[in-house]
Amino acid sequence: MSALQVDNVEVTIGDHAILQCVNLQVAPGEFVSLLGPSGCGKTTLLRSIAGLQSVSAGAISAYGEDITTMPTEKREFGMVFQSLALFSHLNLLDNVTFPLRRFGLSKVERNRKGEALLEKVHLGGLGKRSISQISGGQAQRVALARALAQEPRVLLLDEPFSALDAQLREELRTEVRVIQKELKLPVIMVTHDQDEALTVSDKVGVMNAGRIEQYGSPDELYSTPTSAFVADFIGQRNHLCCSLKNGVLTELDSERKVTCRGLSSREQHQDGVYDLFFEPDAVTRDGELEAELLFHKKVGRQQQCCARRGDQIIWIENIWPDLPDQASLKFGLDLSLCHLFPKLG
Amino acid sequence: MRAWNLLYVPLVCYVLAVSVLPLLFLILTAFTENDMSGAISWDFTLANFGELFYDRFYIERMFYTIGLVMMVTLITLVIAVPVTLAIAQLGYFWRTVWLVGLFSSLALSEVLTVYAWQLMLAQSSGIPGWLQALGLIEVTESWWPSFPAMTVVLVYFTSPVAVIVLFSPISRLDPSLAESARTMGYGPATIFLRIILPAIQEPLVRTGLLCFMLNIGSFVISQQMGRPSDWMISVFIADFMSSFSIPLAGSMALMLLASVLVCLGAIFFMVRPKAVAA
Repeated sequence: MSALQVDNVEVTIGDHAILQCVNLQVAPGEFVSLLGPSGCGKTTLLRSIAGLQSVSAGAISAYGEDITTMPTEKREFGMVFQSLALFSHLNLLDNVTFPLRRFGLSKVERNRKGEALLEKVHLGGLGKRSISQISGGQAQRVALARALAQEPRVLLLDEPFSALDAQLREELRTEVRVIQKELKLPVIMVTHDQDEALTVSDKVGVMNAGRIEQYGSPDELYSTPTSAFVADFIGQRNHLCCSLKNGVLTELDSERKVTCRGLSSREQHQDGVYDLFFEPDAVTRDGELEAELLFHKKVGRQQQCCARRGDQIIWIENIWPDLPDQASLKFGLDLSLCHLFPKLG
Repeated sequence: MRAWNLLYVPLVCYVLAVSVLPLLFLILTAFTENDMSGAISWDFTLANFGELFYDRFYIERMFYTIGLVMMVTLITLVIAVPVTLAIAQLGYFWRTVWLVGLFSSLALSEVLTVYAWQLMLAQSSGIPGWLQALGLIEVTESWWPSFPAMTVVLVYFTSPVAVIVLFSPISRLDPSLAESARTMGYGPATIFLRIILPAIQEPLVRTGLLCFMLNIGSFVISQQMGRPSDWMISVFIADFMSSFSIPLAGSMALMLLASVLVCLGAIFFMVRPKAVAA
């Protein structure tokens, strides 16, 4: 049984369709990220799941129970908001224990649970502090502890780390993942950060214009994107506009060959115009493509070149020995490491 | 002193002239002898205060006034907070319509407001007359002057001010505060009492103080809408001034000022931010 199932959900506000025929299935204990650019509908989908946004069509169910029209307060979902929504008139401990007040627990019992939760998010002993006395990262941890306090059936995270610096984001997302695994809690996180989604999630739903373009494991999305949008958004940002004619792939503008060899039978496509996305290590030395080297540097164990092609900046692996600071690069592409998508429109 | 600090001198003089001097004059006259001809002799005396405390009438009026204004302030806030929350949730157009309407009501002077309410509460021409015509009630007299009429008009007079002052902090309130409480299983009443009200505590106190200040010196509404037994202390102060007992009026005003300051001090003390252990 799924922890959460979204079937053909649509949200329309006025004449504007925010979500169109969205389907999503989250297994118990699974960490799912909704990834997409601003305005793609990922927060609306999360709010629909939480019951904060009514759906125009479709159904949402949790553990087999239809919750489409169930009020938010009865869904028993925990949620961490982008603004965190911490109650500034309460101290840290009272914030964390606030959801427990309705369970009829004694104050001692509530505080004991609250302290344990603060301990879990590495804020033990700070319960008496006010919200104004803590850092952004600590506030994030308080919001997480508060969302966990009511032992939610599903945890929803709306861009929880967007206001933090890169190092803290990485630290906190790892902590969230560790806690999630420990509690075997289904989590749905909204993010526009590809790294964040790919590193912590079991599954990622890439959203575009109110639809889920592709839903799968991070590896599936990275290695076999099913659309140009997913390939572009997931991080293979080097892009060429190509034309395929009689098995020969050439760049559309310059008409230079992308690869010296023809396409293999696996790579066969119909003649036409294509969007080609390639990773930095897809470059080969036998090709006709040209780029102007801007600089080269070592990124981890890889030597990478930053080069300009027309008005586009590309990152490719440095396969040229003793490269000067400025040079004209000539290269081809290993099509087995590239993704071709018919150009739309 | 730097040269540019001299620029403040005219402003400081102006502030002193318009605020401190009248207060100083009030204090001085309160301690001068009461000459019934209207002239003030500048000999120091406590006789005016002795006269005020001679019987309990003026002291009772003082506490009655403060109690009444506190009640009016409370009613005003009870009305203003939900109304402001509702206005803040409206779209731009209707929100603007409401705010313009409220600002317009402030453009009416106290006298015009009172006149309009006297018409509305009159036996034959106002609301009582309409209700009688509909056969809903039997009316034997106008609804004013009366204590309820005076209270209603005092609340009416300060409500737009309260809504306008509260609008900015309430419209800036993070909507996810209430939403997060909903995800924790709480209903609207709990959210309002435990989340919204504490979140606007400071502006609420500020607005309450403003309403209190606006009403404490209310003269026209009290005199016109209330019976003599309902009159607030300002009516008696004005009465003394018109009968040339200016030092007595001054001492009464000073006593009112002192009582108000004590009340405000107590309110500030009660609602001051709690010290939190670091």
